[in-house]
Amino acid sequence: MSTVITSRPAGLGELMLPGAGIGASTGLMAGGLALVAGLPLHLAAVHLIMLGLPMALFGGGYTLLCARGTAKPGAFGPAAVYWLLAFPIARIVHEATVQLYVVGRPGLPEALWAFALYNALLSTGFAFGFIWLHEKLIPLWLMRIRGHNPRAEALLEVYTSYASMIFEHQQQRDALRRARRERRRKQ
Amino acid sequence: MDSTQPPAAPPPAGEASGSEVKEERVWKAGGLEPMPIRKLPAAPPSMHIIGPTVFLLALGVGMGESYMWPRLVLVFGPEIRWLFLIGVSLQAVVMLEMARYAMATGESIFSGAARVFKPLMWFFFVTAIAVYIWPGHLSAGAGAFEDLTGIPWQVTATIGMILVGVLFTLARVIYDLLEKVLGVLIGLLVIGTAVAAAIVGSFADLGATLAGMFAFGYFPDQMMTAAWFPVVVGSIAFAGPSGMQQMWYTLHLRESGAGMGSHIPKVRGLAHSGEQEAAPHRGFMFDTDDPAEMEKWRGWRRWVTFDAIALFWGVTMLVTIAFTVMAMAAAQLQPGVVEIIENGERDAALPAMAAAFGQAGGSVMSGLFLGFISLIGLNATLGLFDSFARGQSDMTYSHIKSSRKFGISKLYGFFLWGVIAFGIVILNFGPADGPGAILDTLAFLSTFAMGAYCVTLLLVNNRMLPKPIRPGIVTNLVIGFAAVFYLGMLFYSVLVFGVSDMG
Repeated sequence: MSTVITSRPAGLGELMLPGAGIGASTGLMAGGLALVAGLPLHLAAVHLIMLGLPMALFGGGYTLLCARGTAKPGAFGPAAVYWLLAFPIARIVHEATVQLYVVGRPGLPEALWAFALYNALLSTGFAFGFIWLHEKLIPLWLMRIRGHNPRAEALLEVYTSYASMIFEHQQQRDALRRARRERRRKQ
Repeated sequence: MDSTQPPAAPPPAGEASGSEVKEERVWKAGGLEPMPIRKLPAAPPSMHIIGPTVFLLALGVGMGESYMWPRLVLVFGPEIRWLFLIGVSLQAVVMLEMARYAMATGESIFSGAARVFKPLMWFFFVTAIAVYIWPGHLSAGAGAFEDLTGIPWQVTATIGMILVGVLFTLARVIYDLLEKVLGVLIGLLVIGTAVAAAIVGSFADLGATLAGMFAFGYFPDQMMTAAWFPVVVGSIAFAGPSGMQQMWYTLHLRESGAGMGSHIPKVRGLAHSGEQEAAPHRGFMFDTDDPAEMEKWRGWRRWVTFDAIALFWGVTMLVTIAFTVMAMAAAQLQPGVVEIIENGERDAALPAMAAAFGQAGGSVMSGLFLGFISLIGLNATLGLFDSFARGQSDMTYSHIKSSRKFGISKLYGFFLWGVIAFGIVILNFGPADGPGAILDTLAFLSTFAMGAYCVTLLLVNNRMLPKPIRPGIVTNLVIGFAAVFYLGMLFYSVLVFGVSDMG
């Protein structure tokens, strides 16, 4: 049996992994494809790190929001709002730091507002893919670490109770609908 | 409900028999064995993330979204995208109607067709073999992988096919495994296209792409030529799932346990065929006179509507918007790209488009484009082999009595390894797309099947289902329009322009 994690940073770090992993995958995509496409290794690594790192932090942050109960598990709305801000910020950091590496000084993209707005719009698509993968991975991860991570156990509980709540809510809604239909029939 | 008391159906293997069966109520649909009445399970919450739609997405988000529509946008401008909106919306309605029969009976649409007129089902059986046995569909993804890595595409495709075969053979429950794998791949595709579009596109490109979706009525003269009319029609037809992919979706829906599909056991991998439960060779019906059952039915309809609109329609739109933005970015930076795309054949134009991306945005863009084509190819390969084997084994098991002694798992394995073995031989020694002499016929059949399944849907849902769960007039009109559109445009293209290949 594994040791129970009592250290707060270690526990949170482990908990963040699914979201952080999905976020980091964006860096892997940018860096890996840059490498395959023939860019020098160092430049591909810069793309990987400079996009992957902020996205991993934001991705992990989202998992923590779920753990805190701020974001509802499985809900698209909170993820969309979160990435509406996080995605453009990560992209600005990416652009600025790549420029810093290439030309030696940090530089913001031209027409910053249009750039931010554009990325904010695309963030909806990203949020969709993120929540899709997050909801697929997180229950598996939580079940794996629940034995030694009390925070994971608590979050898994949130997921389980949320699923029950949704189901009960649905049952109540169905019952109300049935009652309304019955009333109409009698009238 | 127009169901009957005895005479009841003879008890299939694994079901109740004796006096219980004599009292059993059944729903008579067509000339085949009646469907016993069973309980409809409660519907899950309508909001969900992963479901059988991943199969339709894996099959459907393909060449149309990544290549055909970006090409049309480059040639005719983003205003052309209103036709894509129509095409995908039409497919979403088709999807909902396919689901209606599958969820109500637990039968595939093929069995529904057999209930209307058995030769209709055999037509789809033969069409599936004729169209999908050729491994040419692998060429785009494996070819893109060759451009990326230098590994010959025949090698990648052959290894890929063997791996897919082994994977599906070893899986305890094929559907569960595939849903997980495709769920992750589709998620990566959505994330990847969003990131790619963010890196290479601009606000203006996205604005033009979105505005183009509402430019209803835009139809430039150049489109009415032999060179472009069939391509435009094909692009509309192939916006989302094409060919027989929607029909296979009914099998995945059943396999996911949706509606009355919960009464049908799941197909196991060949290595676990010994554990395969005896599957009934016909479906079941629920009591549509029972208000509680009807309430559950409405729950299932809400569930599948969410699937059709949020997942299928939404993801298809997202991916194609991202690809279009990438194409427009390439064209702005390198105006010559339009000429390359315009003049290129499909096989030649894919690398040309990648090269154009490369010229425009550096090798990163070319790599991104080819990487996504490879990912789409992998999704399609996984989905297509499973779907083909699932469809053919379902028709064989349900409608050829002597085949039932093998069990559904072995039949699935037979069709799976049959198509893989044939594919490997043809890939390495024959014409991958099929013999040149019948290529036009195959292309014709693929689009014809789409018109044919719309007609089949109208017949099946309006004649084989109890009245309370039949489609409404608006839905029937939309499906009727789709049938006229697919068949009408296909015949118009053949008769006026002499072209049956819509690709």
